[in-house]
Amino acid sequence: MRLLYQYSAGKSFFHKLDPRTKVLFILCFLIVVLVIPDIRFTFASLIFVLLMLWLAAGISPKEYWPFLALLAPIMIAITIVQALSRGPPYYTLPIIPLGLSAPGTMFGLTIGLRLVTMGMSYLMFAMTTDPFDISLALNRTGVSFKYSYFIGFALRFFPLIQETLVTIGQAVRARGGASLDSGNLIMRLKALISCTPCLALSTIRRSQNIALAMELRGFSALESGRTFIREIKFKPVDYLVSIASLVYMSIGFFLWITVFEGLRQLGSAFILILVIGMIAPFVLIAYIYMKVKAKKRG
Amino acid sequence: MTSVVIKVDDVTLVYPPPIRVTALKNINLQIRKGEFVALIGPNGSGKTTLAKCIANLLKPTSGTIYLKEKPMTKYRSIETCKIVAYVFQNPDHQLFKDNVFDDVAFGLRNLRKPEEFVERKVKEVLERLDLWDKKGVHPFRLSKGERQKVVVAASLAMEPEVLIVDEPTTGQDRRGAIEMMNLLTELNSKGTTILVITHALHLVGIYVRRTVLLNQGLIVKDGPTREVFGDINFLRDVHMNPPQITEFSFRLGLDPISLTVQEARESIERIVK
Amino acid sequence: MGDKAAIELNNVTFQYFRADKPALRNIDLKVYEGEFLGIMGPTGAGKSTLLYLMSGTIPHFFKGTLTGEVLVGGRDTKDLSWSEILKVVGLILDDPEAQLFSLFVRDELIWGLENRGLPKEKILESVDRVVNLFGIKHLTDRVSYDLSGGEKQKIAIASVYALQPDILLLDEPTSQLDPVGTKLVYDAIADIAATGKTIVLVEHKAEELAEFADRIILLNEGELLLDENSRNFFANRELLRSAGVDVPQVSELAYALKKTVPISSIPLTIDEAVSTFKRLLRIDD
Repeated sequence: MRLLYQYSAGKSFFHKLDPRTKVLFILCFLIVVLVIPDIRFTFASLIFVLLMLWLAAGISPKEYWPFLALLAPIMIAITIVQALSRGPPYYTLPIIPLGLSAPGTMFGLTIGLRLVTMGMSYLMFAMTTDPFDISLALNRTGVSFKYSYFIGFALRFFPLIQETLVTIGQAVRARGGASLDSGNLIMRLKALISCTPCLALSTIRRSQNIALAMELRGFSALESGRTFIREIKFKPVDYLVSIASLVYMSIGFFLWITVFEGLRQLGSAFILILVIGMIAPFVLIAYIYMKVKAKKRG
Repeated sequence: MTSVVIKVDDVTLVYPPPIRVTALKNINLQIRKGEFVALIGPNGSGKTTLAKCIANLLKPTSGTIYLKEKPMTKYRSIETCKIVAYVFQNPDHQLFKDNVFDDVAFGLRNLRKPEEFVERKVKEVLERLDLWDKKGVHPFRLSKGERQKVVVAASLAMEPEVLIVDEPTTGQDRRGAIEMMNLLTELNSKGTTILVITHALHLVGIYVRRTVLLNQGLIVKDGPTREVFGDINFLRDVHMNPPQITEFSFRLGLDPISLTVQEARESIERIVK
Repeated sequence: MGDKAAIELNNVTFQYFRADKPALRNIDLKVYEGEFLGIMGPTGAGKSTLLYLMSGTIPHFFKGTLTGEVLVGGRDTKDLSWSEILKVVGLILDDPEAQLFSLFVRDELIWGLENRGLPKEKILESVDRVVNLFGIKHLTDRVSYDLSGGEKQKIAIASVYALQPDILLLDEPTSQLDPVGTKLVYDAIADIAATGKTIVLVEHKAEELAEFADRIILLNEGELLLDENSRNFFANRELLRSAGVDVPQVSELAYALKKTVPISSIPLTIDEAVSTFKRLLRIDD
């Protein structure tokens, strides 16, 4: 059974990338999406993510359309709020005596599209990255074994908690309570409130058993010197994608300042961000280059 | 002829993507008022899915379920829960309040019953299940067997006409299992229709008259327990183990096949004479 | 089966921290090397507590007051670290969901060995061995939470067995499982028993226990009431009944017919029962 946001093994391009590469790629990509205010660009970015999901990660729209359907009302709400609160020029609606601000509508849609892009990027990451590779990546960056292990562990158990919530929700309904899938938001909230203590307590109880089972297999046996058979290694394609992402971000910042007058919008106090945004990628590239050289030497 | 309280008419259930599994295929089943039916089958056969459809917790993809001769679609779930109660397998997934009394009262309060009725009913049910002295205790502090009793009490308090119990004897010791089956038998004798999902076939042989066997989403056998258990080879083909005494009587060639130790004893004594 | 005691409990009494009475009282028990010991008793009798004591879980995970001595491999568990005890003893719990934490089965099998810091080749060798022993090659690439309950328990057993304990303790491993799952687990237990390892199994299902156990003990309310070989164990029907413990159905039948039919040896398993009664009733094969 495969639920949304859950890792599913595969051999696609995105699956094979190092998790650190993917984080960098998505971070750079999203920063540019957030910075560039042109709605055509935002829309194009979203299409790009959906294409990546399809081609590079092998995930088809059939699998994530419920997620999109969930985001749609939020998008519409944001658009309406912006449309009603901004200035001229206005669209006039046929029957309702309201004017929708044109720049407001554009801005609202842009925010909505950015949200969807962020959501889909996270989806792409979660569905193509083994949670325990994330743990390993964290561990390599210096986080202790136990803490980094628990990140992967939490991601691995999250779908089970989702399943348990569904069962508990059915149990609430069986006793005359509200339904978790109710059309009415207030009813849904009521149902969630009924379910939460039960979910929390049953999860705590199970986690005590899990803790014992883990100790029985030596989880706390060694302070250091644990063997790691799993490996994550930066391959040439990882370097390529990382560098491309950083360059992309740099270009994005450059365009923001020049074409979209980003500097004027935010004021001189934000020169620092711009400088960092433009120069930092090259600093990072230089750093990566030095590390690679060191590895080749050693 | 007693009325048909549950009729499952050509029901199919396919889980939506990304799961896409066909859990039930063209199921036809009729349960009369006052029957005691066991629903058996290997894991993944669809027993829990079918039971949840009957309790109006899941909706079939096609086909209709009739509850008291009215289609399920014409009921709201707050109406069906008054008629069909469902006790889930894991008690930890059905305990909602911080004390036993309120937990058992939860359903009745959702149904907006007057408070004096609630107090009277909860007391009655807790006393019946020997839980009255635990009424103020937090349910998660009780032993597993006691938690199981609490969730059964909570369902009984709703005075259902049909009680569906999912694996009530899993993880219980012998005494707990027998207590549970005796309770179900007593409820049945007082008129409650009982549907029990279980893989404790030795208990089914002793307590339950009618058995429905599911395999891979289909009903493959439906009839008196003796008939269903009698086809030992069929049971083995669908990976079910008949009770030891039943298999023993089969291998010895006893006729009729024994469902209990007592029956086997009588059969052998008859042969010896 | 040797005469050497793999595990010894000498006059052990244990009370959990904040409990109002002891969970176990004055327990004297020896588990011999290579034997298959069964433990039966009603819920709350102290069976799990006994396994916790044997595996070092008490006092390292659960706290309480312990008097008497628990010896594993001749050494007092009070003088050993939990890691040292777990090198010799493995424990399987009853909940299959709580014993798998990795995403893929192959990661689960190596996990415990990784924790020990063993070299990579040794780990892969050990895993290969258990995969072959239990016949689980077809499961190694599966996602652990997609498995059936029985498959999960089998993987849990394999993961613990890969650590090569001398003694394997199992706490009602099939209580949450259907008959198919129960069979999977018992196949794994049979594979282990065939290698001559010491096994201690807590089980409610008398029929299954009768197939495997050399010796069975009865616990009730913290006390050791019976300690016999399997055949004699199930002869104590009154005591077992009052403790709420099952007897295999075929044994029950034989006892009920003792007065009518001359049964010399009470059958414990279905095969024994069928051959006994076919002989007695002169039924041809």
